[in-house]
Amino acid sequence: MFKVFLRLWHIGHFFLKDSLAFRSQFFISKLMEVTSLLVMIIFWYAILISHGVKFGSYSPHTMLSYFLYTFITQQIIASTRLNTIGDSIISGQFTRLLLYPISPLPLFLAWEIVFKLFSTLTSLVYLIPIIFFLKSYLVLPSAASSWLALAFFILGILIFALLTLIISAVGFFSTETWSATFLFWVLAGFLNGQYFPLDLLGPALTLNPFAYINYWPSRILLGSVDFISPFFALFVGVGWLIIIYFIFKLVWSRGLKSFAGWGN
Amino acid sequence: MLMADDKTKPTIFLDKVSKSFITRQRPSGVKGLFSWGKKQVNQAVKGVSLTVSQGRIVGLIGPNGAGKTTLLKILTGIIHPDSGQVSVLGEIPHHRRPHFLQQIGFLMGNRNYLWWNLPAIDSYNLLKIIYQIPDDVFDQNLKLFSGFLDVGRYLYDKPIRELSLGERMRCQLLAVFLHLPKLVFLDEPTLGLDIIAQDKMRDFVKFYAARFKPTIVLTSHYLKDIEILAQQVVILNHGHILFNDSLSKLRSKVSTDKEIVFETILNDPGPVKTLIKKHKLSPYLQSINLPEITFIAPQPLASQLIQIITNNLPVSDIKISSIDIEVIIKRYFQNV
Repeated sequence: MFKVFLRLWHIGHFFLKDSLAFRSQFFISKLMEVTSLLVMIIFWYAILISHGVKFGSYSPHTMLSYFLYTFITQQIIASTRLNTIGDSIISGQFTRLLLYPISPLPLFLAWEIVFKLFSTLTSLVYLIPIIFFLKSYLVLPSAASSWLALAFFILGILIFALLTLIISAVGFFSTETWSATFLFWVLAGFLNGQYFPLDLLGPALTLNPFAYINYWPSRILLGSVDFISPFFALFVGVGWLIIIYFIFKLVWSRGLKSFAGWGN
Repeated sequence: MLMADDKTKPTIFLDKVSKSFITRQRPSGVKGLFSWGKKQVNQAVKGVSLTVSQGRIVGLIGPNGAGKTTLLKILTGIIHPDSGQVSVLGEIPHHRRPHFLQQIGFLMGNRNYLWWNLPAIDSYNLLKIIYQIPDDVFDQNLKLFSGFLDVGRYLYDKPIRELSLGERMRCQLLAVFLHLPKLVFLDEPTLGLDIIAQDKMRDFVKFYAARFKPTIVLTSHYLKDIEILAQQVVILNHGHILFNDSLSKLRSKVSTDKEIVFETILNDPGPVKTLIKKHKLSPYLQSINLPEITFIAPQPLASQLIQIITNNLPVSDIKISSIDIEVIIKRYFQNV
């Protein structure tokens, strides 16, 4: 088991090296993250804290914290390299992965996990000072909610990775993935709680599968959830994970069957 | 279609294998936006049956679109056949079992197998982990193969994207053989290479075949690759196998013609043309590129032709050889 893990770790490390082949691009992407985070904080600070605006049960401080946490979940859960697989299917580069004596799913997960670890660690460089600076305006998580949030983070990572792979499989059936991917993530962006807390539109919306990408991990970090049991939400999330996994298996087995290996 | 000397279990066994691709031909321009297009079924491989025994080098040849690459993709498990039975190394390739993939290597001459933005050594290290090659075997193979292919100078520093086509192809070839595959598929391995690089590739394949006794299936439009490397030739056209035997059998089936090249000390083609007209030799004439005059003639006529030319023209040298494989294949396609 340890050997398998070590092997996957090395594979993930290689893919990370490939992702970082252009270091300046990586640093610019981090700069973009810091800039967008600062813009978001200033914007919401001006609206929420300065004017004392309250949304439903969300106080200005809770709301500002929520947006900061959705930013963090976005960086950890939704930062991915798996979104390049659709294009590699179309370009034919995917063929080389099919020749490796290892099934694609563990390969993808190794790639994703190592990339996320690196991305998260590098994001901490600017997140820690910002959180420290804003701590008097934020609702910080308790130890208990941090552990529960960790479970939601893991669930979110798995759901997000499988959803990305499902949408990448469009490459098996179409010569263009961009439009379908864009449409999918616009819908996901609305349903994942990235722009507003989903419970503001009713508790039912919080149990959609995309909610586990941003809403639930962020909401748990905020502390007590009164409208639904977080453990029930976790249970539903695991159910979604199983369903999404079977959809992934179905779509990919059909996709691989129809794969023609075109491209250059 | 078992070869006469096949006594062991075949490495490759295909029985009535077919594969078709569905495409849609849409009208061009704005009209195309509102049309699903006409469905077209392109039958790439049609009922192919083939057996290759262990340790053989098979040359798969045919014109563009004959189905060669599709057949290789079926054999490596990249694509699923529509019908028929496929067994490679005793496994069904498209099940893609790790044990099967561990034993094969596939070089696609028109596709980049290595990671574009990293030096070749990084891709080799990845392959080492993926194929679980022990450290000592990896070091030994890397040293041996990189020395043979003369790639040691640019393995460590230059990303693949900065290498020339020849350098890149040699690095790719090394990658394919690094885990010592038992069965190797080489699809156009000398595509776009200069003569020296082509020779290096062929020498390496010969060396590997002699040392490790793998089964190799090779496709190439450079028929010299087939002539030098292959023991068995399979001609494929429109998805069908037209011929499956040795190159010498193909030669004897197509023709017993000889190529005769006379080297003269003439500067003027006039006397040559007059002589050819007088003895009605034009059907056998291939070219007059003084000082060389080339004829292709059936074996019984060759001695008569030599006599006529040497008696009437100042000849300094004569070269007689079997006709070139390219001519053989061309003739084969003309006859079928």
